[in-house]
Amino acid sequence: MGRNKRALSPVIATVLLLLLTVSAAIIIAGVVLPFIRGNLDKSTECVDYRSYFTFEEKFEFEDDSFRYNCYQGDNLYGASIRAEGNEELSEDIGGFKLVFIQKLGDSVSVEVKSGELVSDIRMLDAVKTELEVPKSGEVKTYVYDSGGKIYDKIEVYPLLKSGRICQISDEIELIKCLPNVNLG
Amino acid sequence: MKKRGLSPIIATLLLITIALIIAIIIFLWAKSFIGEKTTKLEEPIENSCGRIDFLAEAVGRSLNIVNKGNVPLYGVEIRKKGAGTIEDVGRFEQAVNIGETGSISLVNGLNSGEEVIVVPIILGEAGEYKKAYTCGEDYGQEITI
Repeated sequence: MGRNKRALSPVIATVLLLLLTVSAAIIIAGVVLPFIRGNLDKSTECVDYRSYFTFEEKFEFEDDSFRYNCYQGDNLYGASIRAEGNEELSEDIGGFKLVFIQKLGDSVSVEVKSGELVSDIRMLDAVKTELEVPKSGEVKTYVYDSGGKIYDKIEVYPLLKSGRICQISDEIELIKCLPNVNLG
Repeated sequence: MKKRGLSPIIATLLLITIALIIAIIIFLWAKSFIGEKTTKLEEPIENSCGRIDFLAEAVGRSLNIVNKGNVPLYGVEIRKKGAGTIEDVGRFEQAVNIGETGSISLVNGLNSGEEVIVVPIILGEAGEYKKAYTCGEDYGQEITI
């Protein structure tokens, strides 16, 4: 067992270290970054939709002013929804969720998606049998039949085509419909 | 045990270089997440919307637009009003420069007596590219066909 052992030369050792570093960098760039980016995209996809849908508080039409976010009788509830944003944002929108809330805390939610038929909710324009989701700049009004339950507030949540439900976009207190609004 | 190592100057330079490279990588990576803002005249394009001044008038099946402001119009978007609804009818890319008058032929689907909102579209810049931007409805004009 002599003490005169031979090892790698410093040059070879340095080259090996450099090669290891470059390989590690390539692996991180190829695998880890796309993985993180994919997850980050998912977690930030709702950011642009924070106030995408808003309740149209006052609707001016034919020299009159209407407030469609209201209730009529014991069961009919109106919700007038405006889509803000631009066309690019509209492309990823699949619909929205309306949540009707009682003062005591009970609530019910209804999903509105284009082309669908839902028994409890319809368009205000009775000619349109299928539901329509407003595109950027548009306003649509819906009528919800609560089946006799009383609600005090509505909230709207955007639904993305990816299936994700975003955080609340807007909310409004319900009032009794004025005589110029007919939800029937 | 007289070991030789990197000189302090080389070590410092290496550290600075590595830090710079990491900063550049993070910047390029993060840049892709932050959408490029549309601007006009080196300010947010929304400011230019506030300076738009135009007159829209329906004459028969045509819509005449007079640009009275100091922002060129790239086009207009027409939205039809109904009971509780505002629907997008179409987008017309008809440029109307400052002081000029343009005319648009109205599409089918609009009837006489209907209320429409004419919303201006202007051209901005997003990075190296030109991008059309539709102003808010507040900057539009309501007319009756």
